[in-house]
Amino acid sequence: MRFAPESTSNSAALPYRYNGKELEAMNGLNQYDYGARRRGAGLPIWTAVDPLCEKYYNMSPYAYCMGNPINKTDPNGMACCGSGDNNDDGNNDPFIKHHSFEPSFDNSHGTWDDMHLPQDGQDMLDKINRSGKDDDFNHQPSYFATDANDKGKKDNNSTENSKTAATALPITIAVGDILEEFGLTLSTAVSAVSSIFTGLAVILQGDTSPNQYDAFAQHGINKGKLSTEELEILKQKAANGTLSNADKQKLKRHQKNTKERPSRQSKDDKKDKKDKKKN
Amino acid sequence: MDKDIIALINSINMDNANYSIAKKQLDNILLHGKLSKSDICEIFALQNNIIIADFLKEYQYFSRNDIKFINEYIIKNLNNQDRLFVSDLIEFAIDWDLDLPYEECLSFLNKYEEDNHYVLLVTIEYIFKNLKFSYIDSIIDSLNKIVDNPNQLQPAQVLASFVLFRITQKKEYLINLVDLVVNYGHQELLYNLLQETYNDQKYFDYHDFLITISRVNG
Repeated sequence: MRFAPESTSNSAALPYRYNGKELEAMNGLNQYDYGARRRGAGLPIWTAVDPLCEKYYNMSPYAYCMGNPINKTDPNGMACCGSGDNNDDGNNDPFIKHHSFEPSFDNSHGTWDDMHLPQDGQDMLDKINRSGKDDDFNHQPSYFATDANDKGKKDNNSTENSKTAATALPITIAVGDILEEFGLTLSTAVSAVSSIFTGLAVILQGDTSPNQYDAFAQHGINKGKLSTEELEILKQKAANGTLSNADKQKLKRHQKNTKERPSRQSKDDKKDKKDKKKN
Repeated sequence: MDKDIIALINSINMDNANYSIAKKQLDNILLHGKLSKSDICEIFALQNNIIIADFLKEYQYFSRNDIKFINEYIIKNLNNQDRLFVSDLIEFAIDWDLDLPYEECLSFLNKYEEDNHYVLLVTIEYIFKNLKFSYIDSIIDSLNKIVDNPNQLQPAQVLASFVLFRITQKKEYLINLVDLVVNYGHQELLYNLLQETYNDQKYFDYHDFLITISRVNG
């Protein structure tokens, strides 16, 4: 939306103008006073950082009404509100309404990033941050910074966007930390991408409502897999050429229970990738 | 028909009890390269089903006609009493995108006998890879019964939960899947499942999350 520069010639007579806010034109200041912040008269941006900027990760802390002043208003410079903002919970927070953010800004200047975290993942990031687990992960500007190669690139692929944003964060430890709260440990380090948080959020949300488990309260029988020792013995027998049919059947059952045999397509796919790498 | 091959096949029948010896003979057969249809028929007539399954897995020169013939062979043997062998046959059908009688496959999902377990595992995979939405009601219903049945073996429940989650995207299936994997030690199964091309990150949003779960020590 284009904001025309405003004339200040009549400002002394009519100080309360756009949105009923006082235009301070003294000494060429030319800014509207909204209370918490001031807004430039000719530009749709605030002159100061959003005091609640940590709540809106994907938004510039200077954006006025989230770049949508037609549908939204910001009465005091703290948070915007407007039509259609109420989510299912009656919450007036415009960011909680959607499951994923629609890229709504022009990225051509490299100023805005199309942050695309699913809402569940966003909540999880909130949770981590509130718990103070990782001090580095405090909504710092690097969160908004993308790879230089990505600047100006308009990409609507949500996975890619999520990855770009999340891999910029030092949150690898955070995944393990959350799992540890539930008595789980990771055998190897995992790279943190937002989809991991989305999944964790689903699990954690489910954990709070016991009804989720009711449908499948009784699990089946856990057998058919061989222990490591048994597996070693059978492999040894195979190497010595003394594997009987019964042994082979045991081995097969184990392989089927762990789906050790990949399908031909997967094998071909991996082979193709290897060939490409070689070339 | 090659006399050497017949001799090798006969020797397989002689050394039936020792898998390793029979497998060596099969390896010698495979060294001959392309086999005639009659040779393949002779191999299918072997008493040792494990060797037949190995042959199907390892032979690399199947022609279109051979595949057609094998497809008929598989359909005829779907109700073979050796259920482990039937599961091998269905694995071959998955690998080569063969057409199996869909309703018969669906009926396997509703059999709760323990010896049917391995058939069940591969049938779930076959159904998922060849999903026909005209049967969606009965597929979801059958898979739900598998997940809900305390007499089923857990690997089948892991697979069923995974497929149900991918089809419906309902989080209770994901929760159930994670519970089974983490608390009952099915990490390897989940990890191997996620290595399949059709479960690639490109086509499945929760891939990374589940890979993480497959590395969790319960």
